[in-house]
Amino acid sequence: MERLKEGDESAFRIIVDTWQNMVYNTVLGIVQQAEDAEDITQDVFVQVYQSIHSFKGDAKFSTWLYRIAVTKSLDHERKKKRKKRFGFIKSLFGEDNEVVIHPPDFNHPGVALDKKEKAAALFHAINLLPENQRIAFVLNKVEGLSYQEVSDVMETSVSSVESLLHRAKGNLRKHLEEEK
Amino acid sequence: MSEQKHKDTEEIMDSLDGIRRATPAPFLYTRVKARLQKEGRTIWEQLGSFVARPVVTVSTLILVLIFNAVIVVNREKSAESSRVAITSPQDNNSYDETSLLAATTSYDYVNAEP
Repeated sequence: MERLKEGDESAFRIIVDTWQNMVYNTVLGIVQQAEDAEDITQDVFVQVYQSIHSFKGDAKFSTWLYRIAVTKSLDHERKKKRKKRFGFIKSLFGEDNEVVIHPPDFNHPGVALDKKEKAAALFHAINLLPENQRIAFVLNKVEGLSYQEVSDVMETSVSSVESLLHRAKGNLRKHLEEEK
Repeated sequence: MSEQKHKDTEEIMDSLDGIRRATPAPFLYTRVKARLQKEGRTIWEQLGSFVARPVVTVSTLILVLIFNAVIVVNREKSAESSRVAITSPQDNNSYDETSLLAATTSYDYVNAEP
């Protein structure tokens, strides 16, 4: 970390190579689109390079990295929603004649072949969860973080994470049963 | 039926068990480096590419046209008001003469020698 703060490029390369899968997997779990996830992953490392001096070492480096990845992913989601809303308003005024393309079901590449269909249904339901529940669920189930680690990333208590995950599972069951 | 539905839901809920990490496309570092170089441009280079964007050019042109139109309209308005200002003293002349006469009369009356 000290070498990166001094502008050592080889240190930055090591950081990218070491943490790229973790960042990409987290971002992909949230945005559920491979191309967007690639872009956001690049953004995350650009920010790491530019703001490494603000990393004081209070938290673990991985926690700091997860926070950047989650924040960037949520920013992207909000921007996408704003665009969608603006596109809807434009279509009301008849300015936009583009065909609305609904993205196909998301298939996470790390899911076993026999579970692909079920996992796609689950990811669809995850998308309907409120932001906090979605982040907690993705970090815990897709990235495999413990409750303690999730609470560090989300800057909340372990009991709050437990509660978020409990509510997330309840909502997911509800969505899945409604869709049948 | 309901039991089957419940079982299906639970299977879906457990479908992420044993999930492996997804990996990005190769050469991520090269792409990050390229993005860093792009973002490391000087302020003038960034400004130049911003100004060269069609949206910015068209918006600036529209703003200039609106500004010109406002100036022309204001100039016409001020020319019209100055024309009114030139003509109005002539209309008031008769009143001025009367009041002058009245003032002189009262002055003479007040300052009349005993």
